[in-house]
Formats: sequence, C-alpha cells, structure tokens
Amino acid sequence: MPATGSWSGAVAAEPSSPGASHRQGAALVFSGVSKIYGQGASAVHALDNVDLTIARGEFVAIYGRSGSGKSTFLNLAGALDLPTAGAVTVFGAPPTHTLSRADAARLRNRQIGFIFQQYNLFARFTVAENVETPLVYAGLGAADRSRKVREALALVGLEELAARRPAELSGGQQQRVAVARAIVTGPDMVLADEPTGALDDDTGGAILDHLQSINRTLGVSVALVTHDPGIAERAGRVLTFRNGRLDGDERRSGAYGGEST
Amino acid sequence: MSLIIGFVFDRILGAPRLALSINLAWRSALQAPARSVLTILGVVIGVASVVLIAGLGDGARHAVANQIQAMGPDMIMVSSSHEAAGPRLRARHAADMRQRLPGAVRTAPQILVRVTAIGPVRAFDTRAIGVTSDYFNLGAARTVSGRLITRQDETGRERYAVLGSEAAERLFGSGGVAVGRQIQVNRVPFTVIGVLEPRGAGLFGEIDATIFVPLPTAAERLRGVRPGAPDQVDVISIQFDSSQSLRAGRGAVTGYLRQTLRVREGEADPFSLVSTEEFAEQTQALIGIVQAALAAVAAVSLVVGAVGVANIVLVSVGERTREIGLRSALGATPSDILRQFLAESVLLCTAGGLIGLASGYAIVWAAGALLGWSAGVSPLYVAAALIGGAGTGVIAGVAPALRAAALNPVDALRAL
Ligand SMILES: Nc1ncnc2c1ncn2[C@@H]1O[C@H](COP(=O)(O)OP(=O)(O)O)[C@@H](O)[C@H]1O
Ligand SMILES: [Mg+2]
Repeated sequence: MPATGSWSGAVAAEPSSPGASHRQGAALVFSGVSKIYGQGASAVHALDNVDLTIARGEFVAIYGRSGSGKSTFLNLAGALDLPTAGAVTVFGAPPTHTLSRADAARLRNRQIGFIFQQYNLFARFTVAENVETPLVYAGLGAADRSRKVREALALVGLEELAARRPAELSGGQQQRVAVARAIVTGPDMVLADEPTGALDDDTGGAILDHLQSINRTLGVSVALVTHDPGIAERAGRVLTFRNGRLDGDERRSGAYGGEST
Repeated sequence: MSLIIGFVFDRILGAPRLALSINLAWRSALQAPARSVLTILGVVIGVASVVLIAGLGDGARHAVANQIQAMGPDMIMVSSSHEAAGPRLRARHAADMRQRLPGAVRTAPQILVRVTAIGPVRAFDTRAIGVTSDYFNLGAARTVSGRLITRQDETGRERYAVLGSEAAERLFGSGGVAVGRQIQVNRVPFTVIGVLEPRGAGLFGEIDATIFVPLPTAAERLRGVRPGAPDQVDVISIQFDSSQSLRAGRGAVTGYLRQTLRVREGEADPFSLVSTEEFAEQTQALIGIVQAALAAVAAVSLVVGAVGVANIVLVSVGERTREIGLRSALGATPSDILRQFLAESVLLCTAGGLIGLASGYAIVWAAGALLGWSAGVSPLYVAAALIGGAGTGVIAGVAPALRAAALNPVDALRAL
C-alpha cells in the first residue's frame, strides 16, 4: 500500500529546496485506476485497479517486466492518456479525465517533464531550439526563453553544443538534451520512461546522476520507469508492477530521494 | 523569410506560439520543395486566371474605348461588299448623305490600300487611307508636327502624306524629322506634310501605323483609277450629333443606299454597316465571354488547388504524427497543433497566390506590350489574389489540421 502521510514531514526536512514552500500535498494520486485496451476477449488490462500516491520531491522507480504496465502508468500520470476507470490526480489539479485537452496540455507544459527511451528530439532543430520548444508553448518571451535554455543546458553540461543538431550528438548527449528539455520549464515532476534503455551503463549512469541532482537540488519529483533491477535499486522508493497490478512498494534510505523517509 | 516573420511575431508582436506555427509550416514546406511547388500549381493557375480576367478585361475595354475615340464616336461605317461585281459606294454618296440624313454632322469617304512604304530608315508594309479633309474631324486627330490634309490638297491631287505616329517612327526613326521629306508609297513619291499624335493602338491596331493621303491621289496613284472614272470608295464613315441620331440614322443610311444603288426588294444589301455602338457592344460581349471562360478556369483551378493542398497537408500530418504526439507531450494544445497545419496550408496557398499574381501580371504585361494596350492590374486585384490564396489555404487546411489536433497524444507518440 502507498505510504500516504509518511512523506510530508520528510519533505519539509529539506529546507534548501527552492520548491519547498509549495510542496505540500501529493505529486500524484492514482485511485482505483484501470486502463483497458481493446474490448471483449481481446481486451488487455494494462493497469488493473491501481491505488498509489507519490509525494512531492520523491524519486520513485517504476519497476516491472516488459508488458507489466509501466509505460501505461507513466502516460496516465502525465495526462497523455486517460484511465478507463478511476481517477488520476496531478498536483491537486482536478482529475485528468475531467480536464479539457487544452488544460491537460497546459498541465503537461507547466508541471511535467517527459523523457523517453528514444530521446525524441526534433531532428531538424538545433539543441537550443529543442530545449526551447516547451517554453514557446508556455508563451514565454524570447529573452526569458533564451536565458532558461542556457540555464537548462548548463545544468546538463551542454552549453557548448547549443547550436548543434541532434544527429551531431552521441546518444548520451542527446538524452541530456532531452533532460534539459524536460526541466527547462521548471516542472514539478519528471516522468522518464526507460531513459537509459538505449545507453551503455556509464552514459546511462550519467543520466541517472542528472535526474538525481534535479531531484535533490530542484526538489522535482521523479518517476523513472525501468526493467533493470540495478537501476531500480538506486531509487528511494520502488513501485513494482506485475500484469498491470501494483505488486510491491518498497522504500529504502540512502538511495535517490530516499533520505526523506 | 521565416526568420523575419518569426522575428516579427515573436519579438515584436509577442506571439511566440504563432511564430512557431509559421516557422514549422515554413520548414515543412521547404522540406519537400518539389512537392510543395506541384501542390500549389492549382492555386497558381487559379489566381493567375483571376489576374488575367481583371487585367486583360480592363485592358481590352480600355482598348475599345481608345479605338472608338480614335475613330470618332457616334459613327456608322459603311463598306462596299467584297463581291467585285456588286455596286460600289461612291464619294458623292457621302456628300449626299451628309445633306440628307438627319443629325449627320460629317461624312468621310475613304479608300483603303495595302502598301509598301519606304522611308530613309526602313521600308514596311502597312495601310494607306485616301481621305478627305473632314476625315480628321471624325476622331479629332491632331498633328504633333506639320499639318493635316486640306481641301486644296484634295483638288490639287497632291502627293502629300500625313503619317501616323508609328509610321513616322518606322520610316524616319523619329517622327520629329519627317515633315518636308520624301517617302515612297508603292513606288510613288510622296512628301510628308504632317505627323499625327499617337492615338494608342485600338483593337485593330493599325491607326498609328497608317499613312493618310488625299482621296483623289489615293484613287489615281495608289489604286490606278483613270482620271474621270467613277469616284468609287471602300468605306464611308458617317458621324452623327448624338447616339439617338445614330440609332435612327442606321435605317436611314440603309434606305438611302438601297435606293441610290438601285437594290431590288428581297436582294441583300451590297454593303455592310457597323456602328461604333455595335462595335463596342460586340467587343464587350466578346471580352465577357473570354472573361467567363477564364473565371471558369480560375474556379476549377482553385478547387483543384485546394484539394491538392488539403491532400498534401494530410500527408504532412501523417508524416508528422509522432512529432504531433511529442509536441502534445511538451505542452502543445490542440489549437497549437491546429495552427501548425493550418499555417502550412495557408503558407502554401499564399505562396501560390503570390506566384499566380506575378505570373498573371507578367502575362497581362506581355499581352499589353504586344497589343499596345495600357495594361494595369489594380491593387484591388492584388489584394483579392492574396486574400483568395490565403482563404483557399484556410479552406484546404481545416480538415487535415482538425484531424491533427484531434490525435490522442499517446497514440500519436506510438506512431512510427
Ligand atoms: N495502445 C495499446 N493497445 C493495445 N494494447 C496495449 C496498448 N498499449 C499497451 N498495450 C498493452 O498493455 C500492456 C502494458 O503495456 P505497457 O504499459 O507498454 O507495458 P511496459 O511499459 O511495462 O512494457 C501490454 O500487454 C501491452 O501490450
Ligand atoms: Mg514500456
């Protein structure tokens, strides 16, 4: 069962975090969430009656075998998709299925950053333009945008490569661009779907380090999907999925986001 | 270009999302330039046709008005029938009609001869008209140098020539030096006594290239009529004091000529009649038909163009499905996505409109130069071409753009 209530005091124990003042309440609440693909005999229960809460500032690994429902969980958490039953609530906003498509888009834009396994950068745009995109959708002025892009790229150590195109970067560098793009709007939560899946251990480890530092220094909640137990182990909390059900919820100290418990 | 537009919308108007839409549309169109060009062909032809309708129609109307002004208003022109055996018009019929027909202010008998004229600079084939002094009053012709043909020139059977502006130009290189000098018309030497103001070529185009000589001189020297032979002419122009007199005059002219030429009842007229009014009406009708045909071409092209653009934007939506999903994930609202593809459609069609405007104008200009029309395309039509192009873009883009905006982000992201 999700350990509701155990995290709020713990979060308050992180006064250095810039988001501390508004980090009351849950980052993510799933209540009775099911997601069924297809109908009748061929219906797939990708998620089956999932209840869980993720606190603000938590670093959570979403662990499970391929096909266990991890990506489905992440898509619902990011309001990219809607549950068949139940309600998904993100940062106290109305449940996602009650939001208009435009409001869901604004929610994603302002509060959520996505990172995908395949980087998903715009090939024809420069690194800086890629990172800038969410800020354009936020309607930010040009001067603010370029400042934030510079800051985000600095955070992942890629200021030098701002003018390059994705094809001119290594896989690890491309994923760092994706990390910069995910955090450039100052989101409350980053959702990463197997972000190291296409990378070797060292470069993947560097990405995890970036996510950890974002979680620590910016107080951003991170939900990281992985099927790699070694990676799951590094999270402060591991939610294990099996056949669409939440099959385990472990917390550990000493890992990312784990000091808080 | 997109940089400039992007800069204006982003930095100056503070609309970064609109700037992005335009930027994306621009990049998308440039990504497959050949496809984009083919796509907008229909719009190009459609808008070019609209410009042609406007430009050629106005030019032709202008030319008709010019022609009538040059020939003289409120006029009936009678020509002998082309059958050699039939009775011919005579110069004395002209004088007769001037006295008998109510409202007739002047009549002008004419002999028309195809000639080869040789001047110091060049020889060229043109038309000589034998005229009486009154001829020049029909259309209020004026000289830029020298003088017009007088009654004395007629009775003296002088070998004098008055040149149309273009004839002078051709024969002498410049009209200014022609007066007092000699030319040869069908090997007969003539002295130039005057050069006319340019009239602007009419539909039949030759007024400025014509050489005018005294009527009896034309008969004897250019047509080879023996002195004392009947004063046959080819055309008689009859000018009336008003359009009402003109309309009434038509029947009177026919009646007079049938009687004078002793045409029996039931026999066809051995002459034909055309009035400036009819001429104007007929050419206007002709222009109208050409314009209607062009309008049909324009309408069909614009519809075909719209369908083509709609199709290509749909293809673009298909190619960009994954991009659409990604943009949604990053915070693009359905209206952002809608705008992106609508912008692509409007951009393509507006480009088509501009190219159509340019090519249509080029054709109007070339035709104007060729026919001597004053070709102009009014700014109204420029605006119409742009609005028409952009409007076509909106109509063509709505359906595919709506489809893109309706995509579910997750499904779009999963697309290959
Ligand atoms: N769009 C879809 N249509 C049908 N079935 C789907 C769709 N998306 C996911 N599934 C199914 O739902 C289950 C969970 O998928 P997913 O959440 O992608 O798992 P994971 O990310 O853990 O590998 C799988 O059986 C998968 O085949
Ligand atoms: Mg998955």
